[in-house]
Amino acid sequence: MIELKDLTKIYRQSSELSVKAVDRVNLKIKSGDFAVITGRSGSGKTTLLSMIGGLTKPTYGKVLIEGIDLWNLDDKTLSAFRNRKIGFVFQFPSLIPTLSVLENLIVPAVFSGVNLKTYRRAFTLLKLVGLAEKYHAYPHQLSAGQQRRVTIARALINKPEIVLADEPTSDLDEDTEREIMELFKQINTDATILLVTHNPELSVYGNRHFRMSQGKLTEL
Amino acid sequence: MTGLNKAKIFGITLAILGILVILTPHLIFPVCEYHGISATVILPPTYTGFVVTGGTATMPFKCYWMAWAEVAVGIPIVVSALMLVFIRRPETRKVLSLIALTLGVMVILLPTALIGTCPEPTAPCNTGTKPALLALGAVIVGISLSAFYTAGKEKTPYLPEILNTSSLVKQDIKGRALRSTLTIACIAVAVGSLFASSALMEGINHSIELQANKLGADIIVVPKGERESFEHLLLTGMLEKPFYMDRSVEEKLKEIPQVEAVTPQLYMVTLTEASCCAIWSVLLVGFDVETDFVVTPWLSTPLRTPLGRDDVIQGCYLLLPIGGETMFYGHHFKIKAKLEPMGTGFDAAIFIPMEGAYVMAEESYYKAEKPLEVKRGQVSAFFLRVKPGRYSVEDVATLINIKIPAVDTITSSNMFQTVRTQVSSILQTFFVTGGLLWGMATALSATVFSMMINERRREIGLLRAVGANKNYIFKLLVFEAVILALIGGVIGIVGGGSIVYFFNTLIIPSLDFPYIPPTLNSLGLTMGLSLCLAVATGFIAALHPLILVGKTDPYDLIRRGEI
Repeated sequence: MIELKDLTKIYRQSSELSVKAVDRVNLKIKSGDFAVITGRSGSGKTTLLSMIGGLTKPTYGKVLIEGIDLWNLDDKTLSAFRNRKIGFVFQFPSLIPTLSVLENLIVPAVFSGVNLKTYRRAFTLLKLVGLAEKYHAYPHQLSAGQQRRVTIARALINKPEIVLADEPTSDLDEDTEREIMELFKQINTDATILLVTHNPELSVYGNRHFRMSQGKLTEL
Repeated sequence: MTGLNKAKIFGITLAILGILVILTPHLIFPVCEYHGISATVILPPTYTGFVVTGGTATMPFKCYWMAWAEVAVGIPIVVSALMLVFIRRPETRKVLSLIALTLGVMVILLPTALIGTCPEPTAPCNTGTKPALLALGAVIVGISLSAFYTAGKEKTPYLPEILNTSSLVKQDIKGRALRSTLTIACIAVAVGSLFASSALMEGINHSIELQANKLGADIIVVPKGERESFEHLLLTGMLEKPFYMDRSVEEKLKEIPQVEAVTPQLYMVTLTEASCCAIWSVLLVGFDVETDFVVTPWLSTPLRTPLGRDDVIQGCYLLLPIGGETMFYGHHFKIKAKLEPMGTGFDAAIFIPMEGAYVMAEESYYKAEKPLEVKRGQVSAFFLRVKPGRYSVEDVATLINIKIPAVDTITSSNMFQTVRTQVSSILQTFFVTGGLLWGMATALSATVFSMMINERRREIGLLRAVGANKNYIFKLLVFEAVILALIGGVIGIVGGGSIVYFFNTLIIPSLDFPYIPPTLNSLGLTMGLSLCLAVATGFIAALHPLILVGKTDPYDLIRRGEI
């Protein structure tokens, strides 16, 4: 399903200084996998994930999803591809502050077409993440855990085949962390999950475990 | 159609109607107080006229105050209508519909019961403004009732509005009220100042053009040294000191081959505090009915019978009853007709056939309290039309000056030179200030947009992550900038309009200049151009930060949003 070929990202900080954030990563993820990538801060996990999601252009190498070379697509096709195939859960608060919970959930569907079915699915997802009663609330009225749940629900609104989660439990307490990870297990029945975290303990939730260090990826 | 969509249609319609209520008494069907110029008619103590009984009556009439009361009602109609468009709760919409309904009733009551209009049935406020306002008020009441009924029928709890690009923009504008207000204010100031200066400039040019053209004459010939007295008379309708010349000059003028037509006029003024004059201190203009091409083209309705010796025509500011009698210097005249507004001092004058004027002058020695010092055969000015051909109007004027040294000539190009210079220097200052303000507003708007886009980098990155392409983001932010610019533009035009009004009522009268606002068409064009300018300002202001955003990877936008 996902194939990475010599995927590399070099950040040039000046004409002489450059940092290799991701170094020739090769990887194959099958449909239905729950891959957990662990590593210390600055190891290149997030950069890797954003290149897989079509959010950061690699310096060289390829990202193939269902055989399609993501970075060969033009902006319009790539955006539509992201919209239909990929759901993102970011490590930081990523809700639009001026929109309600329900509206935040609907946002990805704006680009593929919103109808009443979208609203029904949004309510179903809100029930799944336990926030059906909060549909009218605004992000600042929710706790960090609740906001994270909303972003998970948002990632699923377009029924994506792949969910990319970047440190989804980074600032949550243990109980909430467990609940969120259980939620990902549940989601994994319908979608392939690629989750990056600094916490190695979370690898138990996945069926594949990778370690990232100094831009290089190794499967454990 | 859902109740919410119906409410939007009702709201937009009501907003348009509210704007019409504001514009109707001032622009569409203006009330009697013609374009903010007030004229003074002094009435004898016994006179039971249309304005007051006795003493000094100064226009504006009550329809003038009614017109401004309609503005005060129109503004809340527009506000409540716009709220009707944006508010989702049916209960709130019911309240807003009731407010609009009450204001609609006020629109009807102001010209009928609360303030009223002029008593004369043929006055513009009765023939145009009042019926238009009654119709508008009735439609507002009808639509408000429908909006109230529709909101009342909505039993199901409201669902959030289906999210789309416009709702994303709307939510953002609402959610970032301070920034939106600042942007709107910047653009409103810029557009308002430029709109006001352009509209005034148009108005001044329009007025000068009309002044020159409305007399229908290419050249005006006055006794030597009386040029300024004539211009003052034409501007204010006040005769400071009488000036006369012999009518024999007419023959000399007719001898000039380039002169197509000549008509004389004689200027007099009624006495003050004299029982022999029905109206005090009013300009009397004697004119030659046979040769006239200056006065009669301005008749509001064509004459059914020829003008007799003792028939007079009144200027638009005077409200004497048509068919009624009046008296000047003890001589009785019949009010035969009325003129359309000319925008000159002649608007408050009485026009008497030349023969009638001479008879009145002759009889004044034994009928009036003070005789009129005018001899038969004397006139004050000649109005000339030049034959089209190889000689310009200026050439013919020069020829007249050479051939008849005892006269001065005035052409449209050199008329009101002092006023033109005075007004244009004020407007130039205004225009330059407006231009500077626009430049500053664009820069400030660009800064605000940069700040806004900077603040929203993560949000933009997130939108890109969930499927928005660069083009969509560009359109979304430009759409938002344009919406803010349009709101600012509309506010600016309303504000600029107030400046124009201030200018009309306070500055223009002090210049003794009969200002006529630009035509509805040219005002519409100026408004359109001002709105285009507003949109362009918004677009220019948003362009640079948008280009920067377009060049950045979505994840970089999200990450930089963390800083």
